Amino acid sequence: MRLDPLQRAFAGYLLDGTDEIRTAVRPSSKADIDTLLGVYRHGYSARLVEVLGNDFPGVKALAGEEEFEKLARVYVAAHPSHGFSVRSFGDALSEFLRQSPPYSEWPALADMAAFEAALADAFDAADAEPMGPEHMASLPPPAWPTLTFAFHPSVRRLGLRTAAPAAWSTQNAGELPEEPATQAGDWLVWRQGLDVKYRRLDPDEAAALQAAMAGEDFSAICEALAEHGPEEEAAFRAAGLIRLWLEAGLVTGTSHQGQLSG
Amino acid sequence: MTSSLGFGLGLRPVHYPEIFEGSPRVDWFEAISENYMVPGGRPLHALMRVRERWSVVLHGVSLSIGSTDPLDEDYLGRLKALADRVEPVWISDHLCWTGVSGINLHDLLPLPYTEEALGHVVERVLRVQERLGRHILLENVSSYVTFAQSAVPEWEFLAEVARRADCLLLLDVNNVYVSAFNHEFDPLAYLDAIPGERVRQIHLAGHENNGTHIIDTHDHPVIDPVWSLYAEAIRRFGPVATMIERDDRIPPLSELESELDRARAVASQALKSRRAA
Ligand SMILES: [Fe+2]
Repeated sequence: MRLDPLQRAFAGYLLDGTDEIRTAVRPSSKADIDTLLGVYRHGYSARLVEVLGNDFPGVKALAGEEEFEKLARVYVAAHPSHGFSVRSFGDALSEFLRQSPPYSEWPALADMAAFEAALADAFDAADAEPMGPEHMASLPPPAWPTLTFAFHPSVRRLGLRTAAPAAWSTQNAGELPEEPATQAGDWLVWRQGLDVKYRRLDPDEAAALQAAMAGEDFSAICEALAEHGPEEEAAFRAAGLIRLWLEAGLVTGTSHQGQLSG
Repeated sequence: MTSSLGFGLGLRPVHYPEIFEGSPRVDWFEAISENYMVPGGRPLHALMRVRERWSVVLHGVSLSIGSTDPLDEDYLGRLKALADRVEPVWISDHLCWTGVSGINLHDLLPLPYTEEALGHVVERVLRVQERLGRHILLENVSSYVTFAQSAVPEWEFLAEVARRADCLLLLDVNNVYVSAFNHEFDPLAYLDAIPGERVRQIHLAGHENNGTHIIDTHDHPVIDPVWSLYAEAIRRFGPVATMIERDDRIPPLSELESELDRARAVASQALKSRRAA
């Protein structure tokens, strides 16, 4: 067998259990071909199941060891890795849990996976220098209506159907989490300095942040807020939220029409 | 020969507090390249902090030098960028393949030792060295199977790759021991065939013996026969930079420092008999 078909046959054995590779392998005097090849076969799935367990401790805690092992093996079989690092291996886990029965009946699992993926993304997202709240005072009043915001690369807004993050923090404290309550809402995940943080977003802040992260300006953010509260208070609320975002290190830049330079 | 770095450890995030808050008796650290090929945040911050006090070498697991897939240019670009930032003393990876058809199998898979594989690997090592602007070190892996069409033993293949590609070697003494047990060859014959002037680094590790075969698990202390083989390596190759790899059931750093002390003792004893010889 030439090198390329040999590697394809080996990969086929690991991924699909095809046995073409057996003809290319020699037994030892102590162990037969299937025992020796089995080391690779067993190692392949065991390694990736372990990666998922390390990267998704919350999903593992919710599902329990046995059920987690089962779902991880199904995921490993359905999602071969395409990245150079195992770091990205679980990227599709949340989507998998959302769509595949029986896990699709259990929304907290997909929520937990999405939340843990967001924490991991925030953990090693690109570095960027945040602006402090003092930046607000430096903005001329005419700038405000067209003001847009650049967010720190770690900032993630995610919509969940359950209170999975509460169960995550229980698990993270070394305790057994209860089943997360059904409680639809938006969550913010970001990194401040080197520390990953998260908090629940009120519906009006979630709408404002969604608009701001989509590149919409201060006026549009106010419009989004007006759908969640008194219109005359929208600008005041918007300014308050922006201060909050600046204080939390979410914002790395602003720009506005008529601006000469950054 | 360039002066040796001394005795190092694989850099593991669980040890960060002990590393940053103490003064471990460790001469240098080996960082797994892929763990730091991330955009930013704590991993790179920690690595640069280690770099302030220690020499660092980069050790990759995804170069897949023996794969028939094209070389991953994106991977090489990121590795180069990391190297530009960290300025490692050297960069190593394994003589193996880790995936094919665009799928990463995340394992260090053995090659058949054929003329075709030799030419393929040599050509790729040359291109990688060109891309990175430096010689790389290739490490021998533990393996569990041998291929019927292998025309030469692993040590001849490894030595020939190094000569033809003008690359350096990372000799994993535990892997020599494991593969010698699994494939029933004499580990000393392996050492005898290694071009000593190319050996820049040695790995030591523990493993799991299943009776019929040994699995390279890096979850135990180094065993006595591997220490003996290490002494034989030092006798042959001189004071080569040596480190211990531990990837599972990772003990406190102090325990690994003690194991590293044993490496120092074994090496200094072996060097005495080298000079006497
Ligand atoms: Fe090694």
